[in-house]
Amino acid sequence: MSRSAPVWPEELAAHRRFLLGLARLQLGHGGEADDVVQDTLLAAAEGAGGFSGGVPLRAWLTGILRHKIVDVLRLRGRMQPLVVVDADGDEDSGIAERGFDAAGRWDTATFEHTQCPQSHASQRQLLEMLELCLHALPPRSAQLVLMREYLGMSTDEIVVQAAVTPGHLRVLLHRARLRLRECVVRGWGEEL
Amino acid sequence: MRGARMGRGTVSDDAMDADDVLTCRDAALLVCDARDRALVPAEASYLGRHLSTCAECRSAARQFASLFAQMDALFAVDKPAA
Repeated sequence: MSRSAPVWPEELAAHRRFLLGLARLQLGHGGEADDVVQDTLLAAAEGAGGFSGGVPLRAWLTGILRHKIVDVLRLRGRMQPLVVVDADGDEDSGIAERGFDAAGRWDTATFEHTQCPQSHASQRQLLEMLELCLHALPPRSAQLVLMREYLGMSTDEIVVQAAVTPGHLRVLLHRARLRLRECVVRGWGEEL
Repeated sequence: MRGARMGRGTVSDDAMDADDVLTCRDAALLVCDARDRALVPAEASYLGRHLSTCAECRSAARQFASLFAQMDALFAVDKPAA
């Protein structure tokens, strides 16, 4: 199959940036990320007859990409752990403490109570904001969060694939989610 | 790899004594844990008790719920019908 860059129908090209962002978060910035996205768009372009429009196009593409990423990780995983997490790997340990006082209570002076805006008109903006927050995560945290939330791997699977202990994975996922919460809540506050 | 260092404030089995109460930090951890596994009854009970007394943790739990729903949407995760 030729690897020269095809000209995508405008509709698919519009989603390419998003898909590439996800692929790079999960696979790094190498050629594999480009390849899985290109394969996804090719599969979509060729299989467009199978797209019934019952789900949004992006959701359909995101699902195709997920399977292709899982295939890459399966191949990679035979050679080495997928995510190298240092035994000391306190990537972003500060977040677990930020926001809580010494007694483990939320610091009421800094706690933001802002809830997610409810209007449908802003759903796209909210998801774009979430996407930005994901890209702001430390790289290994982003990989682990995506393995759990995007690829849908169980924590038991991630423990094996990432060669990380269950306790450490729990802490890393938690810190990433705390950081995401902080990021999106700040964004919600600015939306209003 | 041995010796998972769980970090300060992480809820361990030892925390589930009748004398202990959850900190907000513990409660936030359990809210996130619930995303990955079913909480055991003791955990659910302690969490529920803490939420009933803590406005910040109630807000945080709602914020986490919104965050998780948005991730489901962003990643096109099919959720089984309730």
